[in-house]
This record gives sequence, structure tokens and C-alpha cells, in this order.
Amino acid sequence: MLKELKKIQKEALAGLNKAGVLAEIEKIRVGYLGRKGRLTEILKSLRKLPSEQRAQVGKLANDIKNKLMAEIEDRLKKIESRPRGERVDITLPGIVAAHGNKHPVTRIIDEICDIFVSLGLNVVEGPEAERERYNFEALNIPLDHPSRDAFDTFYIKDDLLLRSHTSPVQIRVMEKEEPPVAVIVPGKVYRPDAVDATHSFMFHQVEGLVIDKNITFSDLKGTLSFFANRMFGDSVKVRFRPHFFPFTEPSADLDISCIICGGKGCRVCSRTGWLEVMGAGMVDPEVFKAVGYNYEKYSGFAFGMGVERIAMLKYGVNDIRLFFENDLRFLRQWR
Amino acid sequence: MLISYNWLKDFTDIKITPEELAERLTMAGIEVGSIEKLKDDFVMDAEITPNRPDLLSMEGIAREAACLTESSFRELNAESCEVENSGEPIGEPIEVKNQAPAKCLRYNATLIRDTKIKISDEKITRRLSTLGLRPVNNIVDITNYFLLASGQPLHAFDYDKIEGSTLVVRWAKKGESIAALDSREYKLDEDILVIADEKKPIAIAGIIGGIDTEIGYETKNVLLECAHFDPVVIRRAARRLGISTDSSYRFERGVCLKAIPAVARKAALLMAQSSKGSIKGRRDIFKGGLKERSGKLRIDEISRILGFKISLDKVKRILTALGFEVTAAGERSLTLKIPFFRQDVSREIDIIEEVARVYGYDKMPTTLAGISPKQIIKYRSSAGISEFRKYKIKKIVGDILCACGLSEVITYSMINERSLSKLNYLPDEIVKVQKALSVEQEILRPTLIPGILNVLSWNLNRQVEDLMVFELGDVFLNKGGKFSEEAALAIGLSGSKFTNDWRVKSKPFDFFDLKGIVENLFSRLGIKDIAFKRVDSGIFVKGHSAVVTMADKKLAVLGKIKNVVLDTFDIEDEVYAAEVYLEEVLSYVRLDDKVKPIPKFPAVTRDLAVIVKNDLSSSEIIEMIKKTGKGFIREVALFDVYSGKQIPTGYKSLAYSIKYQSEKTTLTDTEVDKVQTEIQKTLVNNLKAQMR
Repeated sequence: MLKELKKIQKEALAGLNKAGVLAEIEKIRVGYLGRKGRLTEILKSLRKLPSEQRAQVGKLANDIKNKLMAEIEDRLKKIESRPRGERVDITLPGIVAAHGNKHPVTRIIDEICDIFVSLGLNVVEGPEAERERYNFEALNIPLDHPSRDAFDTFYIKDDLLLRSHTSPVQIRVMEKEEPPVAVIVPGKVYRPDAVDATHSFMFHQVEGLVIDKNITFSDLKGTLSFFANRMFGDSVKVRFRPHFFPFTEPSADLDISCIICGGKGCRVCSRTGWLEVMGAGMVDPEVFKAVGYNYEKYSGFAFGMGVERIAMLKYGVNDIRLFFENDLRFLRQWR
Repeated sequence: MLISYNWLKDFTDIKITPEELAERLTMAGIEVGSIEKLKDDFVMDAEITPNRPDLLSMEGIAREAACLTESSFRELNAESCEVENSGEPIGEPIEVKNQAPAKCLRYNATLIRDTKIKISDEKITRRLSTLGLRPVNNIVDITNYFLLASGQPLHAFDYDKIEGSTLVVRWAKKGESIAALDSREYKLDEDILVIADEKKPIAIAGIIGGIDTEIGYETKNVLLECAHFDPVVIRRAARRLGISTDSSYRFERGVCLKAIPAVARKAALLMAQSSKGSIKGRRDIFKGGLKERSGKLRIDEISRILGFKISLDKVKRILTALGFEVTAAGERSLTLKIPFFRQDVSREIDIIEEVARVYGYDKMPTTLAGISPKQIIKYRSSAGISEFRKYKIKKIVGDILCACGLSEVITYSMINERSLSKLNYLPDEIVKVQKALSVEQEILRPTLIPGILNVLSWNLNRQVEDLMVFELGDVFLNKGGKFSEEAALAIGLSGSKFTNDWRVKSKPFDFFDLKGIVENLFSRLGIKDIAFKRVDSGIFVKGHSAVVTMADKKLAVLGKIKNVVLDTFDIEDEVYAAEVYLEEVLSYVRLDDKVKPIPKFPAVTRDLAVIVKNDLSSSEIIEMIKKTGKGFIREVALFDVYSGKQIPTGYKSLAYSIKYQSEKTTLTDTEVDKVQTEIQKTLVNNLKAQMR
């Protein structure tokens, strides 16, 4: 009997050692410890044994039972702590849904427009092929005046040209709408400049115009400072410098403290610590006259900025041509 | 313009450093870009705006500096010179004939005899060199010296080389030319003003002198010119001749009529002194007379425009320092005499600007404009919709395409002729740019397709593959002789859809990838009733292209681009492209459709597979299914197209999933079966379909 028990122990442990999955362990458990298991049968038959043998065999049988139970428990724990099924290589890349992106110039335009829209301005556009009156005369830029030097222009035919700035849209809007007027105007402009790292014969501007009763130069300052801080960050300093534009008076250039060097002076800001980002001014009475607005009753300000320049500063792009080459390795960085 | 820090001290006592001065000037509108130390002097490079010719001189800059630093200012021409304003010769007669009195308002000539030409004094050569001018000799240097000091250009002739000793201010004659001091020969015409002797032009008025009357070491007698020429005449001539000189630059912007005799007198005196010569004759031809100009400034207007109050006293101080003279002062206004040298000032707003500029923009308050909420409605695009809405739609179009996986590109609006060569445009339809920078930018694009193909080509040639791009922009066309500019959209696909999905192999783009994008676009714009029709023309491969129409309006074309077209762009890969006529599309856009209720009753789905002839289109089958099952069917979706084994040649198998759903009741199996059988019957009878 004792021999029989030792054999059972040996076989059961050997079986457990080979068992790799739950089902096999369960089979062994049932086979030895189940209701009709081999060890259970022996334990049941104990009472038939003579009393002197009973104690000895009983002890061994119970020892083996406990040992097997502990062993099974141990095995089960080991198997449960193993991952279920196959393991995945979690370092493989996650799957991204294909998505595109807007051009960086469009992103900047949207960003600029959104800020001014939040202040109550309407986004409108105008034609790129423009008449002389809108591009020049109505904006108080007379023919044969040095102030036209800044506006070299491509002509298509007589009285039809590619606008050299977005300001003509000011005139178009004022001709149609009575004051008050508040618009923000993005668009392409053209100037016959030789192309280099900072010049392009086509680029983008955003123009703004606000006209109402009691609009002042202080409003111009406040509104454009608000914009500059929203666009470039609250830590950026803003200054207004007198300048000249034929269609505004008084006129100003808006500088921000250099966002590259923080105003200490670097190559980008020509060591001045300041970056010019837009031109602005109070709308000139001559412009009011051209569109039939009453200058004694209304006043307003206008401003304009170059989009590529801002994009170059903001994104650290050092060559304007990159925007129009459309190399996807460049553009996809805004994805 | 270059400014000498030391030279300014001739006119005012500067007590601040060059850096501080540069800062003050910059903040008053004279932007100093750089300061460079040159021996014991400092040279500042300043940008002078075109409205301020009075600042194109050391005197003008010094006046501003004095005003900004509240120091006193000493004029260059302190002595009175009114006596010479007679037109009569003084001393030896000098013959001057002004044949263009409307364009030469003043001509002052001074004769200096017995001159000894030599190198200039150290002070003059140093100052000229400091400001970048090459010293020549004492006479020429003095003309340049006064140009820099006063802004008034001067010219000196060798008097003995003037044929007949008579000067004529006249228009050049056709065919005339002049060898100028820059050793170039200029061909003149009737729109160019010259100074001539009896035989030929000896100077291009206000621009450059002739080499024949140049001052040389042998020059004995000097005739000094100090004049006023019309800015437009000078500007046109300089542009025509392709030349810009220190002199023409100043005349173009306007010199001060009043200062001429005084500058001439001072310069002549210095010349006589330096060359040991003597002033023998003088003539000042000036018929117009000087008109005093005055202006009025209301204190209330200052606060209306600038947005804050400033004391009349402060205003007076600023304007007086700038050379204005207060002739009358009321409680709320000033009457002012405007200085002659300030031709840019004539209106009240000009005077307000002067006050603002000197007061300092940075000291003014900062307020947010109170903007009246008002939409721009009347300002409309050529499509007739408001510009406001047009912009909104364009933005949405971009958003949709980005969501479809496309990257936006921006290409030049000007393209070359070659890129249009295979695109079937008539020469009359094409709009050209005059005086294009190069043949690459000669034509205003009538379509966005070349731009898209150029982008694909650029990238493919740099091993950047799997491209999905779009461009939103205007195109330019002559339509029946009428110029038009219209919003357009183009899409280009090449390679296969970008994906990092390593589990599946991505398939190369085909017609249906492109069609899906176009369909999605129209659907998201709320344009539902569009039809795709076969089109076999133009730039697309036969059988792989379509036109999108709505009520006979052509809204878009799409398809596989022909190889002959791709060849001109150096593309070897397959390209699918679409062009959407956005200007037409705009008026069909519906962005605010009302929501439909969520279905209350369950749906039942049944599949249906048919075998039909190859040339029967799927849309005909779907239409038939929908028509037959009207009221019961919510959606019909194609899920399989098959031809090959088990299907006879010339036929294809199409499988549809039909979603049955009623808005009124739960459909029973029997009801659905009945409709499904009816559909099958109709397809067999009407479209000769076989059920699978």
C-alpha cells in the first residue's frame, strides 16, 4: 500500500511538471484528487485497513494529498500570471488616420483673422486683378510720385493691374458700405521684385480697417497691441514708430521686441532688438473724400502686414521661397 | 541717407550720445538703422520717408534733433537774401533763357571768375568722405557739400566751355544726346528737360551734368547753378534714363523754392574764397513769387483723432520748434504759418501728425476700439454672394480637404506658356502679364492644374512620393473678350494614400479615391443633387474621367491625367487630378441644413447580387432599386464588384446591401421580402439583370 502511494506521488508530480496549460493541471487534479481520483479512492479505503496499518498509510496519504494540492496551487498561480494568448510588440507604431494640413501661410492668415474676428471685424476678400483707382488714386497715391516707388506693379492691360497691396479692398468695402465698417482682409499681392531669400514677386498680406464715430489713434494702439500680444505672446513688447503711408495720417510702424533674441539684439533684428511687423495709421481724409465718407463725422484706422514675414519669424523659416516650392517634406511639418 | 553726428553740431548743440539721438530720431519717424563710428565721428544710416524732402540734409535732421532735444537751432542761411530776388543781373551779365518756366520755377546762376582749382580743405573732404562722397576738387566738392548740408542740389559749369555763354533751360530735342559726368551717353527726348548752350545740352536738368563743361584743374571761370525743377519731370526723366543721382533724388521729392538764393550765395562765397576767385555776376530768374501758407489747428480735432487731450501750450512749443509760426492763438485753436521747407504740410491732419510725432506715440494712451457689431453685407463677390460668406466657404473647403488627408499648397499665380501647351486653351482666352520678370511668369493662370502638376513633379523628382495635395486660389481668363477672375480649387493625387499602417499594404490611387474626395466635398457643402457624367476630352485619359454637373452647370472635372500632359511636367507616375469651379459652386452651398430625426424603427438589411452587362452603370441600378422600393428603403450601398470566374465575359457582378427602414412602422420580414422580390423582378425585366 505504501509502495502504491509513493508511486502515485511520483507519477502525479511528474505529470504536473509536464503540464503547461490549465486544462492539463485540471485533468491531473481530477485524476488524483477528484471524487473518483486515485488518491481519494485510497483515502476512502483507509477504514478497511487493519488499525495498525491505518495510521501509517493514512498519514502518508494525507501528506501526499497536501503536497499535491500545494503543488497544483503553485502551478496555477504561475500560469495565471502569464499573459493570455499571444504577446504584442508594443513598440510597433500606432496607426494614424491619414490627415492633411493647411499651408503655413494659410495657418498664419487664419490665426491673424481669428484674433481680429474675436474683436468684431468681418473677414472679406477682394480681386487680385485690380483697377488703378483702387490700387492707387483712391488711396492717395498719385501717379509720378516717389511714394509709388514702394508699389512697383505688374500691369495686365490699361487700367488693370495685379494689386500691389491689399489696401484696395478698403476702398471697395467703403464704396459699398456706410460706416461703421470693420473688416479684416487677407489676400495675395504682387510686386515685380527679383526673388531672393526675403523677396518674392507674389506674397500675402492681411489688411484691416475700422471706421466709426470716435475711433482714435489710441484705439489703433490698443487694438494692434492686443493683436501683437495674442499673435506673438504676452511677453512681447510693442512699440509704435511714426512712419509715412500715403493713405494714412498720422501713420505708424508697429515693432515687436525680437522674438528670436528677446530684444537683446541678433542677426534677425539687425541688432536693434526690434522687429517691424506691420504698418498702420489713421485713415487719411483724402481716402474719405475718395469714397464719400464724412471726415468731420467719422474717423478710423487701417493697418496691413506681410504674412510670409510673420510666418518666417514665427516658424523660423529662413527663405521665403520655401513657401512656394511646396516641398511636402516642408509642408507636412505643419500636419 | 547717411547722417554725420558731428556735422549736426553746426546747427544745434547736441548733448546726448549718438545712440540716444538715434533712438529719439527713430521714435519721431526718422528710422536710424545703424550707427557706425568713423574716426571721431558717428555715421547714422536713416530712412527718410518720401514725404519729407526737407530731411534730406544735415540742416533738416538737425532741426528735428533740436526740436526733439529741446535745444536751440541755427539755420544754415542766417543772412537775408531778399535783395537778389529781382530777376535782374547783378554785376557782369549772365544770359539765361528759361523756355520751360512752368517746370523750372527758379533758376539762379552765379559767375565766379579767376578760380584756382585745387583739392578741397580738409574739413570739406572729411565731411564728404564721411557721408560716402568722393572728393573731386574744391568747386565740385562745394556743390556736394551744400547738397548734403541744405538738401539743395547745385551744379557748376566751366563757364568758358559754354558755347556762346548763354544758358537755355529747355526741352531736349528728339535725337539729341549728352555725354554725362558718369561717362555714359544718354539719348534724350522731348520729355526731358536740359540745360543747353547755343549748340547742345550741357546738363540733364536736375539729374547730371555733361562731361564737356566739367570743372577741371584748368577751369578759370565757374558758373554755379542753383535751381528748382519740377519733381514729376525729373522723376520721369530719371526713370526713363535709368539713372538716380543725389540731385535727382532730391528734386523728385521737392526742394525749397525760398532757400535757393541764400544757398547759392553761401556756396558762391565759399567757392570764391577757396579758389581765390571773385563773384562777378549773379542772376536769379524767378517769376512765381513765394506764397505764404497758413493752417488752422483745433485742439478738439487733436483729441478727436488722437484720443487724448494735450495742452495748447505744449502744441505751440512743438510746432514752433519745428519752424511753424503761431500767428494767432485762440482758446481752442491756433493759426499757424507753415514753413516753406515743409511742402508736405498743408492740412490740419498734417499738423496733428507733427504734434503726435514729436509728442511721442509711446506716450499716448492705449485703448481697445469699441467696434459696432455690424456685418458686411453689401460688399459682394463677383458670384453675387457676400464676400464674408465666400471667405467662410473657402475656409470650410480647406478644412474638408485636410480632413481627407490632403496637404494644401500655394503656387505662383503666374505660370509659363509651356505648362499650358497640352491643356487646350485658346490663345484669346489667356491673360498675359506685361513686362513679366521672366518667361516663367508670363501668363496669369487660367487653371490651377499646372500648379498642382508642378508641385507633384517637384516632389516626385526628389523621391517624395504618395502625394495628396490641393490648392485654393483665383484663376484668370478672358471669357468672350471679357476679363474674369474666379475662385477655383484643384486636387492632385499620386502614388498611394499615405499611411503608417504596417498591417495592410496600401493600394495605389485610382479614380475612386479621387471621386470619393470630390463627393465628400460636395456632400459636406450641402450640395446633394450632383451627377457624375462620363467625359472623354481634354487632359484626362478616356474612360477614367468625369464631369460633375448640377442642373446643367459644370461644377468640376476629374480623372486620370494623360501621359502627354504629364510629359510636359516631367512626371512618370500616374496622376489623378480634379479641378473644381469654385466660383460656380459658391451659390449652391448650403451650410445650415436642418437636422433629420434619428429613425425610430429598426432597420432590416438584405443583400442583392446581380449580373449585368459591363456597360450598365451602377448608378442606374441603384436608382432603379430606390425607385422600386420607395418608402421602404433608407440606403443602398454597393459592397462588391466582381468579374472573372463564373461570370460570362462582357458581364460583371455587382452586390448591394439594401437597408430597409420605415419612418412609420417596424417592417416585418414578409413586407421586406415582398419589396425585395419586386426589386429583383424590376431589375430583371428593365435592366436585363440576372440574379446571383
